[in-house]
Amino acid sequence: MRRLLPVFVCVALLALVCAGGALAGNGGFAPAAPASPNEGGIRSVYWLILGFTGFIFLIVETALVVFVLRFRSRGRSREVEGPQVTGHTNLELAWTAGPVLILAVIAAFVFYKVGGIRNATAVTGGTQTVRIEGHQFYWEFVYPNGAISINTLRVPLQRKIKLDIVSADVAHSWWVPVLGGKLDAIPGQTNRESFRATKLGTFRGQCAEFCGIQHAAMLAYVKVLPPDEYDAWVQRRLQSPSEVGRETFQGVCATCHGLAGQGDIGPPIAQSPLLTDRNAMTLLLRNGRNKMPAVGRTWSDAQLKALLDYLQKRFHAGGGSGG
Amino acid sequence: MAARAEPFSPSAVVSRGRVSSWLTTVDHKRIGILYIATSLAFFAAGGILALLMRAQLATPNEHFIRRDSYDELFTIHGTTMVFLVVVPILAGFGNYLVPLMIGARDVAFPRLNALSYWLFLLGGIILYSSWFAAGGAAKTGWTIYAPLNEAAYSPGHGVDLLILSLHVLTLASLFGAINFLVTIHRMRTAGMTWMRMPLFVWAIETYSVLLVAALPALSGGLTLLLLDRQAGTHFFIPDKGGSALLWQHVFWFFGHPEVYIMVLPAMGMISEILPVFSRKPIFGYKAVALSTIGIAFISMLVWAHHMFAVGLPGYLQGFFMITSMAVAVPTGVKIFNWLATTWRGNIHFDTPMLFALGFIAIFTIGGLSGVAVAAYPFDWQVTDTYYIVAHLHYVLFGGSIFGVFAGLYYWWPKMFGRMLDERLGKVNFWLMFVGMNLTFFPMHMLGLLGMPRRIYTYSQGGLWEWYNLVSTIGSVVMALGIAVFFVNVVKTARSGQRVGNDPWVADTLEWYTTSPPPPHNFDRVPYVSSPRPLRDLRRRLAESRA
Repeated sequence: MRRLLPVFVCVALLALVCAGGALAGNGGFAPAAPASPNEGGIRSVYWLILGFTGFIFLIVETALVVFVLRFRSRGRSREVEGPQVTGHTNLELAWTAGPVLILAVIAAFVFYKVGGIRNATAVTGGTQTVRIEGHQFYWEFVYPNGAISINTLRVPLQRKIKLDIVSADVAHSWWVPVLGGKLDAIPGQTNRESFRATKLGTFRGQCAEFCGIQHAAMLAYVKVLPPDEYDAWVQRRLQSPSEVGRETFQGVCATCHGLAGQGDIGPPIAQSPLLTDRNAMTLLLRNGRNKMPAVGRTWSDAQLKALLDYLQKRFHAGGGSGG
Repeated sequence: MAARAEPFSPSAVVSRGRVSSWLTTVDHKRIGILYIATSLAFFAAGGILALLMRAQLATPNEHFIRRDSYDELFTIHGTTMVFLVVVPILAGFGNYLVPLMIGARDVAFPRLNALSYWLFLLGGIILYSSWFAAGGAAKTGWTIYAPLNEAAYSPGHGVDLLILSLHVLTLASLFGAINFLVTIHRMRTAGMTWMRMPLFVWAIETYSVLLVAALPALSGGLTLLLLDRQAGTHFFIPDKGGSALLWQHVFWFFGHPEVYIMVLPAMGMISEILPVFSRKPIFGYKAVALSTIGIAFISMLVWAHHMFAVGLPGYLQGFFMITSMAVAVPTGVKIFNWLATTWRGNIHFDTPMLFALGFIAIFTIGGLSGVAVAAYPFDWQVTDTYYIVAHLHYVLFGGSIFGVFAGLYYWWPKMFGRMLDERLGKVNFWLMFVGMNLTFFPMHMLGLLGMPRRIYTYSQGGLWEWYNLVSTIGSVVMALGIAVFFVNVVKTARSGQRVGNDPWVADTLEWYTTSPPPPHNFDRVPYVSSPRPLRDLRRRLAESRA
């Protein structure tokens, strides 16, 4: 039995890890609890597969442990041979056909479910199409009325939201776990999906395709609002460039230059005389320089102006350096 | 025939020197040992990179590694483990064992064989020299996705040197694969028909076919990328009419067969070791051999399951789900046949057997999570997360590396005439087994919680922190286990127990000759009348005594 001690230690440690997880609700033993039917579909696929694979896992590991314990040599010499069985056709056919059947069931279930996972079913309240642009290192959202937000997408509860996902530079991946799976933002193509949010709240997501030095900081939030509140917000946003300017600074510039412009991987900008030079700033934002990506390559003039106005006000109003 | 049987022999002066004889050797056994030793050195290097990453991720908001250095770490770690560790160490075992197992004097082209090794070493040196290049080593991940790999997004020479290194390494692997194929097809000893060939040789045959089929895609893709970066073309630049997705197709058309290139020979080792330590023949020799070919064939048809999130049309995703799930069938055949091999055996728990059993236990988890991620809606949730990192390490660490360690402990006495220390071997196994599971199992949960791959830090506490910390602790345990192996090597070289031709009472021809074998391998080779020629010989001896 001493031989088996390490096995038990291993099992105990794993159990401890699992228990730690289980105590905290979901614990990472299933995909995120759904806030949309899309994610609900993914979870049901997961549970079905976990059921089958868990069953096979138990069979294999149990057989392994039982055979190994039961047929251990117990001091018999190497010269003693086991029965010289070279195979058993029917048995081998059975463990070829069995997995085929299981896999067929899983595949059939996936095909049955997949429609509702990639696309939301039509519901009342109409459909909104939002364009999502992946950039190094931020998300930009363009709403049907032309309003813009950075890194936080607002959507109305229960309405069908269509997403047109594009990239302005390298490949990114749009992913908010509670709302469903990933869809990559790849330059040169538009990827489309739709979803329907069924819970109010703010949900976190993160770029899931490695996109460069600040990939880890490329977060995304989806704020699900009551429909009337959303409608009011999206109208208001259209008329408030200062908000766009602030969001652009916090979501685009601050990722590398710090929330107070104090510098991080990018140089400090709070005191930079460049901030007041609109032409130089335009050039810099549109084309990038050295390690700085061309963050503003696709911005409209209005959006650019919103940021420059914000920078001016925040860092250079009255010669002060704070906002 | 004569030319093939007489390996090139450099002048006597050079071939006698202690160092120079290794530098000029064309002996498949010495080249095999060079491959294995070099790969183990890179294994240590790649492992240290991994430990640095685990240290950085141990707690949220760490500042241990600067972020772009972290990107270099995971890029070079992945490239090292795939191209400089698993593939070449398997080539090393193939080199050492294939001629011995088929009763040949050497491989078909001994000088080409030496060229393969030296190109491999050169490729490795180029990759590691890229740390010192302008702009540092590549920071793109080992998958080098477009258009991040282009000069506009990855300036400096890191990616250029990565391309050069991979070009050299693909040539090395391609030469090696051709060499194996010709050797296995043309140089089997009298009586060794295809169905009497050791299963490891079957695996190396299949490994070689896959390399020949898959590597040119990588070479082609790398050449296009090099032209993009250096000659102003734009194959992968969408702004100018290229296609970013094309890179992914080309890369994974190579990349997925590559996974089986890394796993099949390890499976071949398991198929050699399990019967010897169970004192039984392999259960269903034909099924195991055919399943190897089956896996290889299907593996050429599954590449886009790495690309379920790129927005492929639904029917293509369905096709790639079905082919990917189909791989599980021949893989399951292997696992069930291995289990049946141990049934009613006389099981000896020497270290090679422990690693072989560990392989089955761990690889099964990797195979089953493979079925899960083949279901593309679920994959949309976990692709590019730590769930995939867990899955691929269960397959490549729990599979390939455990197979390699089983092989090291099993064939070490043949290679060096001394048995690796069994007590240290068991410590080595248990530390690696426990450490491996502690490191990689929590990563499944991290992925399901939403942690993407390739992020240098995270701000979430709670479970994220807890699982990451457990994983880091596991990586230290695993590293200790691997350190014990290196201690064992040193100890064995000094005072290891000397052994005869066949310490394990094994079945295949390599155990017929001395340990280590003479340069010409065999004075004579017995006629092969079954897949277990040595057991046949033992039985005839016993009968003649009786």
